Amino acid sequence: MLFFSYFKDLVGREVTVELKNDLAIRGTLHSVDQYLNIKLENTKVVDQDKYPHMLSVRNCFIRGSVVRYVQLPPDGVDVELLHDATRREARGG
Amino acid sequence: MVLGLRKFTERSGDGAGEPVLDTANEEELMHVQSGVAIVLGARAPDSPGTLYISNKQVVWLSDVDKERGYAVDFLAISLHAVSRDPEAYPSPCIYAQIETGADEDVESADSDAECNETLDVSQITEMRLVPSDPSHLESLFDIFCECAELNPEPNEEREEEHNWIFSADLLSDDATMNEAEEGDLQWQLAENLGNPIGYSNGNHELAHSVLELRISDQRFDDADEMEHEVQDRHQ
Amino acid sequence: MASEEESTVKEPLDLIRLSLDERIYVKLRSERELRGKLHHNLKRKKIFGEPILETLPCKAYDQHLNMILGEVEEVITTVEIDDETYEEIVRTTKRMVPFLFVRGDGVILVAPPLRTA
Repeated sequence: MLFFSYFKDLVGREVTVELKNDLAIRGTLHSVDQYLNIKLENTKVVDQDKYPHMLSVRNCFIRGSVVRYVQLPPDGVDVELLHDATRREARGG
Repeated sequence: MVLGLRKFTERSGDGAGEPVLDTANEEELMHVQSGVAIVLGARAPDSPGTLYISNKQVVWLSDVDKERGYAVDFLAISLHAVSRDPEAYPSPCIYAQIETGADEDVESADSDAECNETLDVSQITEMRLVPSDPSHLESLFDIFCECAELNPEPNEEREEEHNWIFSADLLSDDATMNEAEEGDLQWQLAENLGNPIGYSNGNHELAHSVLELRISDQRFDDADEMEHEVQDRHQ
Repeated sequence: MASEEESTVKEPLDLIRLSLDERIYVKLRSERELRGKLHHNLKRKKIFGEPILETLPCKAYDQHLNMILGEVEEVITTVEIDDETYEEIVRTTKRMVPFLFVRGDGVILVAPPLRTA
């Protein structure tokens, strides 16, 4: 649940989700759920040569289990942010 | 868990009605959308048809050919999206990527499919659902999201205490067997290994702190096979 | 097993946190390797070795081996077979990522950094 809280704090930020099938999708983090399913908005496929027909989709739901990485905004990984997230988690949030 | 797309022909009534759902396993119909064409991979669209969305799967049934229908479990849908970019596809649609359950003999299956020129739907990795009225796209997307969230990975649902083994004495074959019998996600911490993790020179301090994680979970089985599977999917 | 270890080490990466602020090594499926800094909790470091009074799990990893790494170097190894000579051609590609969330189900192995003298 730690990362659920953490990703909730990143809503509205630009992230790049890399899938286990090597597809990489950049977009604005719209929402995330407890399974780390990720919804992105205004997405762009990073490697367009490989996936030409996905060019851009407005809304995209990515199943958590197919995610390999999420590239995070450099200033978004704030230790304090993580601490806040874990405190909320400890309160059962 | 069934991966990939499959053919679906079980209709109620005289084989002309709604899809027969697995109601014994709490499957229920969430949404019906008529006037939806289906596009499998790069093939020509198939229409007209009706989309049936249950809490477990997406079923598309042809309105014309009662023998024609396809289904895919939400567990196998890697991602879905609203595609409105005419460069991506001429008509606004729901785009979905499907995780295929590539078997060990997937290569022979592939070549068979090529020889016979029949469509092996289980190898389809992309699907588009094109409603005749694009204004339904947003609501369809939301229903897909809702149902996807109802279908988490089966082994993620349990958040049990993990069992830890902290003593090398417990790392006998017996311990391994017990672990296999219990079938739970477990960790074994192997310390004091003679030559841990490929570090050839005996830095004992390092060797002591190096962990080897042995993970007993079927998700981690046959990593090599899985890699082939991933590669196959890209071809 | 009410040992001292148990009171401080709850899961594998709790041992890794001994390498605070050092780059750890993570081996992943699909011939991928990462080296990066595991984010950690300073609070917990102070009380390490003593009974933990405050059990807030402040850290950037969890029991599934999900983790956040900083200053990540990823190395991908691919092996191709030469069509004519049938020799194996091993290629590695490297890239740097400032901050990376790594989903734990792809993790094969985690190790502290190799300390060079």
